[in-house]
Amino acid sequence: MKQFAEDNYQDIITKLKKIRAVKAPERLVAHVQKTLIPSLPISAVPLLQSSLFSMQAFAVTTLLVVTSSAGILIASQQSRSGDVLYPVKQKVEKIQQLFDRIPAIGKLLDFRNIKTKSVPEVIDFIQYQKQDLQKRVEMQLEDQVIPILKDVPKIVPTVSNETLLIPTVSLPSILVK
Amino acid sequence: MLNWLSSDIFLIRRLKHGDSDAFGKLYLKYLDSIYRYIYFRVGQKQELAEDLSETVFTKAWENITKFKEHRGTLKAWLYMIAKNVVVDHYRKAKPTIALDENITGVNSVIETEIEKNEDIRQLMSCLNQLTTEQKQVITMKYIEDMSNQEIAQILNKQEDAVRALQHRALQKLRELLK
Repeated sequence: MKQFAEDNYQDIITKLKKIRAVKAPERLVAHVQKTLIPSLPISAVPLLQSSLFSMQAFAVTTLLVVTSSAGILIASQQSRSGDVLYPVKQKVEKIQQLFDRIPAIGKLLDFRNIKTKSVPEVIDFIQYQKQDLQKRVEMQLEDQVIPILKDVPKIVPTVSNETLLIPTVSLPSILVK
Repeated sequence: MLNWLSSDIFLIRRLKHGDSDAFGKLYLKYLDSIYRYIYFRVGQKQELAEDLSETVFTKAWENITKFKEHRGTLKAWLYMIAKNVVVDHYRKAKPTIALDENITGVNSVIETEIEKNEDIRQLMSCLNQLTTEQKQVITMKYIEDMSNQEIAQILNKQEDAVRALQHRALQKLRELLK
């Protein structure tokens, strides 16, 4: 459809925006605060941990797993069936399929991109993704990605450093704090 | 950090664990917006808009575990509940009348300052003469400042269709205001 010119209706739009001043009556706000909220049934689901703590801990943990394993993960892309790193390659493929539906996180594991970036660029990238993780897709990661990644650390110690194609990137201290 | 603490994702997470304080914060954050939407949907009837607004948030509390962040914003989800609550109200209350009563006058029991402004009063009266969809689109786009993407999601329409509705609604308002 051809874009219509909103400018032709600017006078009406300006008046419409003034209607935003219509607010919920004070008595409704008071009723909500004094009666409704206190009467809400308490959920049977307990608060196991402080949400803030668990979200921060989760984001840092995820970054630790992903960044400390980056070299292994890149190396695994060349592996074939029977190789030590082949199970990692399979996991990466599974995750990449998942991340096709979550573009922001997909960037985090775009290994070819990370390989061509300098360390400061990677650090910036990780810091950006840390915010992104917290704010946008933390729930999906928690539910779906961690179960897939949990076996990677078990595989990593069996691979010698010589196997790696590029060095791993150290996690910046600011993220570990 | 303060922004994060007041963000929807943080509040939702606490809500899903049954935190009624978080619900209170969320309620107050969106109450005006949801109230306005319902107020214009029900022919600017203040008491009815209050009752239905309360119903919207009660349903939100009961169903918060069904809300999926990756499928859209919390605001859009609340609007979808509001839309359904209004439809349910008219379905149960008076099945023989149209969904939106075409009331040309402003029915508020208590006049607010904004309604005392003659221009705005006339515009609010004209809003009641739009079709249901036109009214919804105009309210969400120009009063609530929502994106076409969010509106399309709530109304289950393509963005092009939303733009077309906006255009037709503004044209009709122009004619009504002459």
